[in-house]
Amino acid sequence: MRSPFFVLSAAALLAGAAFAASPMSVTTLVEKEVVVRDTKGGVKVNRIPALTVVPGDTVVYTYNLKNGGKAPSENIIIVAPIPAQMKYIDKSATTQSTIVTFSVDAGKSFGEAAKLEVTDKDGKRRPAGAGDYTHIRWVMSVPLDGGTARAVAFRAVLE
Amino acid sequence: MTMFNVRLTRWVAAAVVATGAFLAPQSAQAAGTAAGTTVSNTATVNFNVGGVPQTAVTGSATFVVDDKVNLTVTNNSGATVVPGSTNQVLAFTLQNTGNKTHGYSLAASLGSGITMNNVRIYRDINGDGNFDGGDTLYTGGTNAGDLSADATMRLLIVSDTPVGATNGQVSNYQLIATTLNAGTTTVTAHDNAIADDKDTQQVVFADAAGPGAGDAVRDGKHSATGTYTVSTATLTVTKTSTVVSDPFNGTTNPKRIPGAVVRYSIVVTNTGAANATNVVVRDAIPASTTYAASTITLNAGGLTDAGGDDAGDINATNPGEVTVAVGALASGGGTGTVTFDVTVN
Repeated sequence: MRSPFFVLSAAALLAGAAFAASPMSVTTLVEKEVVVRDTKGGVKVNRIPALTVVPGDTVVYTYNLKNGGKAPSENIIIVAPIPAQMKYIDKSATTQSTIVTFSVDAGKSFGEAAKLEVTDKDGKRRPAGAGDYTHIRWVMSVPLDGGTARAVAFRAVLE
Repeated sequence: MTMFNVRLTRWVAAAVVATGAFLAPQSAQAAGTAAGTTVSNTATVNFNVGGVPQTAVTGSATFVVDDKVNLTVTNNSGATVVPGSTNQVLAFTLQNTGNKTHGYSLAASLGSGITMNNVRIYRDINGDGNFDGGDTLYTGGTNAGDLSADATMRLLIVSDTPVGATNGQVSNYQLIATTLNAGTTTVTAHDNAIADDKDTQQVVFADAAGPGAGDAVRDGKHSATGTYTVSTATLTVTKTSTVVSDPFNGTTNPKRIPGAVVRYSIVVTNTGAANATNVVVRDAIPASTTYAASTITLNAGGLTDAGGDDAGDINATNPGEVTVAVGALASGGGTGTVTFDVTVN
C-alpha cells in the first residue's frame, strides 16, 4: 500500500451500508520527523511520509477528522493507541479545543497526565511517565460542524 | 449524552518468521524494535449527531520497521611487545547494535607505525582477550559469523614483532568489520537508491565513522585501532680504569708504570623500557697486563676466581677473559657494576 492514508475500517463501512453512511470519517497519517539543515546553517524539522522507519526515529501520528454530513457532530471522542514499540513524547499531543487525557491500563481508564500512577516492578506506586502511556484520548469541547474538518496529533519515538 | 463505547485496536505482528535472531520480537532491546515488526495504529472516533450516538468510525495506519544496520568495533587492549616476539595480541569486540541479524567480514590493516609480520585475525572463542588454543583463524572474505541484534563477538589481531623493532616504536592496526547479509558473504547494501515503501523491510545504514581507512559514516562498516608498543631493554656499557698503586708511589698519586695495579670498572645500565635478564659481562685481560688474583667484584661484592661457584670467574667460562653473570637489570636505569684489577707488565 503506497498511500499513507487508510480511509475507513471494514466495520465502519459495513455499519454505514446497513444504515446510513456515517457523516464522520477519520484518516490516520503517519509521518517521520527529519532534521534538515538549510543553506544558512540553520536547523529545522521537516515531516516526511513514514516509509523508512528505524529505531530512534520520531514519528508523528495525525488523525484527520472530517464531518461530511450537514449536521454538527457533538461529544466527539478520539481514542488512539500508542503502539507498543513506541514511546510517547511528553506534551506532544495537540490540545486545541480538546481535553487530553491518557491511559496507563490499555485504555480501560483515562486520567490527567499529572494524576496518573503506575505500579513499579517492586510493587511501589509512582507517578506515570510518558513512557507508561498506552492510549491517548481527546475529548473535543466544541462540535464539528457539517462540512468541516479538524485534526489532532501526537508524536512518539520508535524504540 | 456522552457515550464511551470505545473500541481499541492495539496490536503488533512480526511480519517475518523469527529465525532465532529475535529473542522476542516485541521485547525492548538496546538495538530497538526488531526489523520486520509491523507497527499498527487504529484510532477510534465516537460522536453524537443531534444528541444521538452514532456508530464509531476508525482510521488506521501501519508501517514495517526497517533494518537498521549499525555496528561498533571497540579495541579492548593494546600490547607491549619486544622485538622478535610472536603471536602478539590486540583484542577487539564487535557488536551488532542494529535491529536485525547480520554477518560480518573482517580486515586488519596498518594505520600507522611499523609493520608487523604474519598479521592474522582470530575469533576469540572464549572471549578472554588472549590468544589460546580454541581461537579460530578468520579467512579473509568469509563471514566471521552471524550476530543477532545486540550480540557481540570477540576478535583478536595476532602478529609477530619484527626482530629489528626498537624501543618506543609503535604499530597501529585497524580492525574493520563490514556488514553482510546473514548467513552469506554478500555485503549488505542500503536501500537509499530505491523507492521507500512503508510496507517493506528496507535497509538503512546508521553506523558512525571509524578510524579505519575508508570507514565513513553510514557505510555499514565500523573500525577501531589497537596499538602495539615496542618495549625493549637498552643496555649501555661504560668502562673506566683507575690506577690503584705503583711500586714507587704506593697508593699516593700512583702512575701507570710497569708493576702498577690498574682497576677496571665496567658499569652496565638498562635505559630501556623492558627489564633485561641474564645480562653477562665478558672482558678480556688486556695485552701487557696480568690479572691480579681474587679481585673480581660484582656490585662491590667480592667473587672468587674459580668457575661454577659464584657469578664470576677468570679463565673458566671464557679462556683469557673475566666473565660475570650480572643477572637482571630493571628497566629505567637498573645498573650492575663489575670491577677487576690487573698489573701492568
